[in-house]
Amino acid sequence: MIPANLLSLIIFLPLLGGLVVLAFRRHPNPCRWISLGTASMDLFLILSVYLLEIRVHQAGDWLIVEDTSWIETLGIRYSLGLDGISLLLIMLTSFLGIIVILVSWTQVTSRVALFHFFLLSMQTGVLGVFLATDLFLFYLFWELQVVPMFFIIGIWGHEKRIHAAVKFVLFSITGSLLMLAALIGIVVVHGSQTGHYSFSLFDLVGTSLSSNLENWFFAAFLLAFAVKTPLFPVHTWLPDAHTEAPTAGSVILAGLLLKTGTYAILRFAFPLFPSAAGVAVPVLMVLGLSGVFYASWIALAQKDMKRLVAYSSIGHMGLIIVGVAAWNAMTLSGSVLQMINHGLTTSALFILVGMLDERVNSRQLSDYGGIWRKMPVFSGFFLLFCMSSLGLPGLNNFVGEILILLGTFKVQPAAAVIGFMGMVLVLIYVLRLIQDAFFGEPRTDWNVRDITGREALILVPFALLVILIGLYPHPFLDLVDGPVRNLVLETGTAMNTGAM
Amino acid sequence: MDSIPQGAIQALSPWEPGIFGFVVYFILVTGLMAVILFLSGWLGVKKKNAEKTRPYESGILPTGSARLRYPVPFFLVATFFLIFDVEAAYIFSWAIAFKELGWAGWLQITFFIVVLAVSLFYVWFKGGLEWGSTTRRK
Amino acid sequence: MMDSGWLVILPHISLAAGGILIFCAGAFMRRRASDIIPVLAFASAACAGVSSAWIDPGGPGFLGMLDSGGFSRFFAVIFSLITLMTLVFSHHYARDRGFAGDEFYGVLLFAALGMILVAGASHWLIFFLGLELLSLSLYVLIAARKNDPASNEAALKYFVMGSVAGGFLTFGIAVLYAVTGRMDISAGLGSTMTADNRAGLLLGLSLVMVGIGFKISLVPFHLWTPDVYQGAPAPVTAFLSTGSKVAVFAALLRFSLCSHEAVWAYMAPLFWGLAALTMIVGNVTALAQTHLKRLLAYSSIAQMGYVLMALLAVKHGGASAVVFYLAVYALMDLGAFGAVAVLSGEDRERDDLEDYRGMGYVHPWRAGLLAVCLFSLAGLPPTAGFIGKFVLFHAAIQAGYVALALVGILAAIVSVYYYLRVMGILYMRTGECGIVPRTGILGDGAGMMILALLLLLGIVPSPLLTAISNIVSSLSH
Repeated sequence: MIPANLLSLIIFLPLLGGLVVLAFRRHPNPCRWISLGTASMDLFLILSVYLLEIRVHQAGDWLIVEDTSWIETLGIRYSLGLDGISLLLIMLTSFLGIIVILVSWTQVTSRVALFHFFLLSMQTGVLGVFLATDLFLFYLFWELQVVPMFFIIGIWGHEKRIHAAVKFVLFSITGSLLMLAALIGIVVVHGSQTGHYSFSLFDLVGTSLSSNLENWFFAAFLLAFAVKTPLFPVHTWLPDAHTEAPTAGSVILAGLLLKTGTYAILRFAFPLFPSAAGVAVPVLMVLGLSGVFYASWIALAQKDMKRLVAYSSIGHMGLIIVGVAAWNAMTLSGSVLQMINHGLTTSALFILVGMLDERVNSRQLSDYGGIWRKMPVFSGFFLLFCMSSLGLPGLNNFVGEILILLGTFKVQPAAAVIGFMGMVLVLIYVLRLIQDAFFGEPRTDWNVRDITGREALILVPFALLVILIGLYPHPFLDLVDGPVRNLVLETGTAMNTGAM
Repeated sequence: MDSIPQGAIQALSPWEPGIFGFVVYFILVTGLMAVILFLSGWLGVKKKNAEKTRPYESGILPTGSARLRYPVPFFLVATFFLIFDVEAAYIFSWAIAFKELGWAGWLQITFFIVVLAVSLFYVWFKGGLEWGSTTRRK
Repeated sequence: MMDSGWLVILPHISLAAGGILIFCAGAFMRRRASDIIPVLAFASAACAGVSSAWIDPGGPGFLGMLDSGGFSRFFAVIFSLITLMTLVFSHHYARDRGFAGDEFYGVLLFAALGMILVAGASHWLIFFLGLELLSLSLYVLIAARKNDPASNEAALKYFVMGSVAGGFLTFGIAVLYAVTGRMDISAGLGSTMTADNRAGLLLGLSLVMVGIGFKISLVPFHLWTPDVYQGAPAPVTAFLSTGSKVAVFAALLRFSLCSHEAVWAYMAPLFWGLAALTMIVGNVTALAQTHLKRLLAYSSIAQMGYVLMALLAVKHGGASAVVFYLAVYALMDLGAFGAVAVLSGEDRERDDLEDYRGMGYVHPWRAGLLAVCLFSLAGLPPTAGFIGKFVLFHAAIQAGYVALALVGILAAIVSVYYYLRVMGILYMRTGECGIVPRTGILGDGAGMMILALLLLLGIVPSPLLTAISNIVSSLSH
């Protein structure tokens, strides 16, 4: 019923489209339409998987798997797998894939073909990360997603773009190369124990490692993922990258790249090294919570709106890490949902800031004031997403946050309480942003139009999703419920033994 | 005193025929030379003129610069000689073992000589054997 | 026996005959030489490649001096490819700059012959002969631009230091012969170590390592590399950095595979130190470079460090990783220096990094070749360099050299910075670009081929890896 290579098709369709786009180097508009077509086709494929397949299978299984031999001499296979968590995340990926093309429709006017090529190949990389179940394949996609982002920031970014792009890649590579060492390490250990060299996640889970070795391996994996997430002490690349990136770049960064970090923690780092993870839980909680506070604190002091949103993003990701670290069914569901929420809300905020920037050519908070009177519709959207960001009940973030915090309360009441207080800080800086930019005296020298039809087309789906998840999160939670229970069942016990 | 061999004591003894006299002679000569050199430098009149600053005083007058550009063909010919001379060593060694090597050896050395001849012609045609600049040399 | 013996040296004969014919054409057919010579060179290199790729001579080798196995043939194919690519890159380059005479093409073929001899030697004399042939030819090639002082300086530097290194090597071979009584490489190095011959064996090997270390520019012996790479014409640099290094490394791999466990136990710490030093110094020094050719020179030094790291794993099945990376490295450096060659203006080499500003848009394909090669050197996917680096680290970690692998990984992180810097200059800045001459369909075709191969090997490395592991397993038995 399903074509055998459906997952490959989903992954590589954008890349294929990107290559086609390159052929239209001198014609910007066909580029945009072809990219949009490819991205839509990908979303259509994924949605049809969702609609057709999800009912057939027992939730919790791998819905679709794909497995072909690839590099036999090293025991590397080309294996992909789709479960509820990855399905949800690839839906987000392809949705944002369409959005970024629409966002850059008028913003990017130079080297359009190249830009769309990088956007689409980026999408391939992220989709691959979410679907790979062979560790080497995962590593390949993990590195692959860095390359287009480097160019997107470096070529189409703002003033200090090269600096930001290089910083981004160096941080990522530092983490991922150390992870590579650990990855080879666990494969070698597993191979010497069983005589069977394999990079498959399913084979490697349950490899018995000495606790010393396991701690080192886990640390290396965690570093790679924490850099991407970004977790508190290794987050410093993110504000630079966000500030310098074009809007589409920021959306991809916030919406997709950061998700690969948290996804990889719960898919790879914890299941592969459960007892080390068990030991690291308190550390992760402390780091996640300090991320929440630190980022909110710094966000309060930001004058650049994009930087402000970037720091808020660090704070939200910190909370997701707390949820992952607590590792029970409720927090994990919350974390996965929160990944989606953060992807939607923060992306929307970046898009809105980008629209302002496009009109006024400034991102400085001090240049704005009284936007509400000039652009009421725009301001309405902005307020909605700000409310979503600070977790107003009835909007999407509230559901995720409450799940994480309630679940954490069962395990670590103190952490949950501190997390609640962190949410209050978010409230402060978001309200300050709204007050400074949207209320107060309007700047008289402005003559800006309200949002256009294309911009509305971008924002309305976001708004609908934000409200839908806020009011009726069940379809989404049902998707992740099964896989999450499996994760907790398989990894949870081993974690506890480690913690003791 | 015991450790010094008897022969050494005799050699250093002023009363025996040995090297002692030689040592005294050496010191005297060195001292005398030092004294003479010092005195002549100290007492002598120092007066510079063009004649005195020449490299070879009272010799043949040098003409032109000392930094000569040696004609390149010297080097070329020397190199060619070296190369072809070394190749001759192979032919000699073949000639000594002529009988043992038989016809196979003869064929091989013939091939070798042919290649050598070709290279000689190459050098010739390229103008390597011309003396001085010519239009033929590339 | 006789027949298979001649088949073994078919590639050698084809290259030597090609070289001699080219010299003859240059001397005796001066009118039409410029048309004939490139064709002759191309044909004989292609002939060498084809004969080593498709004709399996079988048999035990040639007079006990040349190995006829898959290992030698594999490298013979690689050298033929390198020579062909170099010929293509230098075709317009040499003609426009007036050094496309018979000496350039003929000597290039002799250098290729030297490489094949070095990689295929199973006898110390052949190894030495090949190495000297290679070096002598390279001295000439580096000085190909006769009127360029930098080119002459580079050649002289390489000559003086190369001669010294050659002296060490010869003495080392002599000591090894004195101690083991064998000129056969595998028999000599494979002999067991006793109290009597230990000192001699180690002394000989260390002296040989000095010579080899010079040729593949491992760190204490690397100082000539940047100057020579910068001074030599870009296609020659491509040839020099790939061919001679790969050839000597192939020989080193053979020595390591042949050497007795007891000998190896003494050599491994030496290699460990050399590898660590090479990776660190190469990459850190490259950070400070402002000229592309010097940057690539230091990068190529560092690359050899990575390969040496995997060489340590040779007794634990790391040999195929080394061979794979050598093949990939040849492609990458050939492509990078080839791109410099095709991007250079007629009057001077495009060398200053600032001259590459915005090149990515002015010459998308040529700059694209450079970019892909740099990405591959940095080890980023989806290029062959990514798989290559992975294979190297895999081999090192599997053999238990974890600390060295970590050093290598840290060095690789450092290296990403300077590769990205070039990338930033190529694509993220704008500047004046001089006029670039046409390179003809062949030059562009060769560039495209390298690009395609790098990407292809990055996605489906399996056939090559399997072939290599067969070759290597045939060598070690």
